[in-house]
Amino acid sequence: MRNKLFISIISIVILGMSCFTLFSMPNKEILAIENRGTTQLSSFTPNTWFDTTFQGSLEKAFADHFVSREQWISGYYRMNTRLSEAMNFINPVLGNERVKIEIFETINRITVDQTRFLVPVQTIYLNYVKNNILSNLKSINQLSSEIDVPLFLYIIPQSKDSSLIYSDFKIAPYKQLVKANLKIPYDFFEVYSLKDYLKYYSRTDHHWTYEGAYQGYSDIVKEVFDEEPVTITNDLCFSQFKFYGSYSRSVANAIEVDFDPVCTYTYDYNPLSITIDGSIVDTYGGLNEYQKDLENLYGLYVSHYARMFTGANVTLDIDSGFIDKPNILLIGNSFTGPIRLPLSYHAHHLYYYSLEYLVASQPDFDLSAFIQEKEIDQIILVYQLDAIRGKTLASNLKVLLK
Amino acid sequence: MVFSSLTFVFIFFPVFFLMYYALRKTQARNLLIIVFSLLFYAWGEPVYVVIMIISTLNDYGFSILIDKVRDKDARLAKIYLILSVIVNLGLLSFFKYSDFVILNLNSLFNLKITMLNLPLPIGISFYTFQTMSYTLDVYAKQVKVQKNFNALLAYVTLFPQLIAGPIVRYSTVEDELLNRTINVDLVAKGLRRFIIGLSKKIIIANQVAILANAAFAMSAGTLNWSFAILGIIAYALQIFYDFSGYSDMAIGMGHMMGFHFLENFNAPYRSTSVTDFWRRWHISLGTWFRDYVYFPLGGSRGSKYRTIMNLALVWFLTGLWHGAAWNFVLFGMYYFVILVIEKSGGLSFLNKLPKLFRHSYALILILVGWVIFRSESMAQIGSYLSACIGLGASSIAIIPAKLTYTLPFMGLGILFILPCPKVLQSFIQKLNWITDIGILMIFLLSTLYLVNQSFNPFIYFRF
Repeated sequence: MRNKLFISIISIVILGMSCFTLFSMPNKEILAIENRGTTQLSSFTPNTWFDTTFQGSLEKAFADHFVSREQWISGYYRMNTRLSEAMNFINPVLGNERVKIEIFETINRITVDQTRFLVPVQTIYLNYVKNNILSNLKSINQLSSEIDVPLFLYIIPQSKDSSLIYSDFKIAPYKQLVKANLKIPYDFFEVYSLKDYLKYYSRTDHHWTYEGAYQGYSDIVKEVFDEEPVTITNDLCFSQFKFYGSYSRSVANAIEVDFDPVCTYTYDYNPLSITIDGSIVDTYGGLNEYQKDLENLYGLYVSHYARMFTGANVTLDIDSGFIDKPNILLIGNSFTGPIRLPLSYHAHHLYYYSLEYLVASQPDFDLSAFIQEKEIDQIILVYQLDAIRGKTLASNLKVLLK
Repeated sequence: MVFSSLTFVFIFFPVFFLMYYALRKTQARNLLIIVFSLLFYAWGEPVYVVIMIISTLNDYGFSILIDKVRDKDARLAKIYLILSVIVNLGLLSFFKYSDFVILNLNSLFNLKITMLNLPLPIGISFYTFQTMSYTLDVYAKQVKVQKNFNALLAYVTLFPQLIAGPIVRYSTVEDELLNRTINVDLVAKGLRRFIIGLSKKIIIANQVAILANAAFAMSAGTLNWSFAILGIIAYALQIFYDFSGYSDMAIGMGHMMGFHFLENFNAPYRSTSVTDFWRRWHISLGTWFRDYVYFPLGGSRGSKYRTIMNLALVWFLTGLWHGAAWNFVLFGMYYFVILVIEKSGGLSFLNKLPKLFRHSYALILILVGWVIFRSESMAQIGSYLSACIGLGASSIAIIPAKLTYTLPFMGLGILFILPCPKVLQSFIQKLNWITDIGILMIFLLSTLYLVNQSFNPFIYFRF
């Protein structure tokens, strides 16, 4: 009796899983987190058998369509995370520092338009970075108290924080922390749906897309200037080029993954010039520079994001020619790349400084003197959430403090 | 195809077993075994399956010839036997050792012979030894000649033991090839054994492998003594749980099909000497070399010098069987030296010492053996062993912080090799239903790991 029941249960489990999987195998879906489509079964021919293409495709297709695949994976990571947490106590005993455990929990397999998502949850992660966040917010508050011009902070959750982006309650603890501790106006970049998430974040890079950046820019101008964003005239896509971003550059099989298009918006607005260290480098965003790079065959793995959006430039002065508009100082990092040009539409001069650049090259930078000299009316800080919860922002901000 | 894959566990074996169970006649079941075994083998080696069939044909043909002439013309029978062995060893040597020979000839005589770069046919070392043992047994009248080619082919290709052993002797399954029964008890026993084997491989071996791989991947200057020792313990656990897991799966599937394969491991890390270890580790290989090489050479019946030479040859071949590289030869010769010392009085001296000391002695030598086995070059053997005795890096950390999560798996691995008190054993045996629920949970946990093998996170992890 016992043996029969044991065999029956195992058989039901195995056969049930196999049947469900085999029936779902023709489905074509996108595995968002792996940035690839589900493997499809190749046709059975002598050639595909002898070169083992058929066998390989069957194994991969079966695994990709395995019943509740994402839940299994979720279970695996949940288990590993708990194990890592449980074992963290031993690190100091073994002569290590306690490790920062990146929580990767998956709460569900969500399918939208045949795209499967795993949703990482990082709420526990907050405990590990709470002090960093508080320290960063404190520095920003101090900066605000030391200057006479208004300061605005815009926070962008990164693509790896996708759970924070589209499941509001996950980001709530971060928002509560910021709300309770930040004394200047601020806003979060919000993405409310998975569809938007795919649109607003690169799959192959940690930055936002040109569309995401435009949304962020629109938020900022509404919050800071109470103005409408500049009108878009065109989507300019360089279809011959694929965006090999930071994620794809770090994987060996970069060629096999799906890429984002290389695109930017063009606007009903042309700034007179972009000046770097007093020299005019471009007359229209970073586009000329970008095209020049492409002509020179800059290389397959060049970061198109940086090249297109002048992300490599650590300091800029964009003169819009609108003399009645305020002068803005934008401080941030490469995330500001795609918003610098449209943001300059709302300014006479848009000055941009990378904080890292100031720390490295102008440690004696005097912000008050700069504000006075350039007649700055507004300062905007734009940082991704990773920077807000990281250790370096507070120390870098010291360069701006008295 | 490997046992520890979703395709095998959820498609191949269930389909095979349903059909196997539906068939009632042994002949038909043998035919099904052949079809599925060839499919199993050809899954990854569609071309090399021919070599296995040639090898079987060779032994099938020569064993019939030997049987025919053996009583009339012993010399001719011997010639047939030698021819059969030459074909078997020729195939094995060509595919497994030709590049090794070329490499050494090139470096010794400064030649420029082009390497063949042949992929090694999966399981060739196992099935060659099986087919050879069959012909040798026919010659020695240990078994009756098998005139039914299907039965012999079913024996050679029998997929549960085809790629990773145990080396099943023909005599072990001779009767069952033609007449075997399966029943619910045997199927349930086999199923439990299969699941335990799968979990040994997937849950323990693969996890401790992370630690072992990390240790062996470190360069000489960066490996400290504590991590070196931890790494080698991890490797000892990995190789045991990996290999014995495969053997468990093979034995379990054998049960489900009505076969009774012999055990391949008997708690090897509980050995009290190296001699003891090799009686407990990969038993089917040890007994194969004993019965087909050592004994025919005279074993220990001749002079002391002759016995030592016999042992040297056996251990040279044992080392070489594991792989075509000098570290494997060294691995064999290392054990040869220790076994000679133990045979020459070392063992009787050891037996006078406390058991704990004997265990420690055996384990230390076994661990050193695994360093030789796992290392990829002679230089690495030296640097790894140097690190073990404190001549490596001087960092304080015992283990990289991000690998501490593998320690529970090491703990489990160590726990399961410790002797289980009889009281606990009998208690566990009484927990029939709870044991089965536990095994079911272990199966689901193994599935968790199997599914995760197909997961290659892109956005969140690879940067």
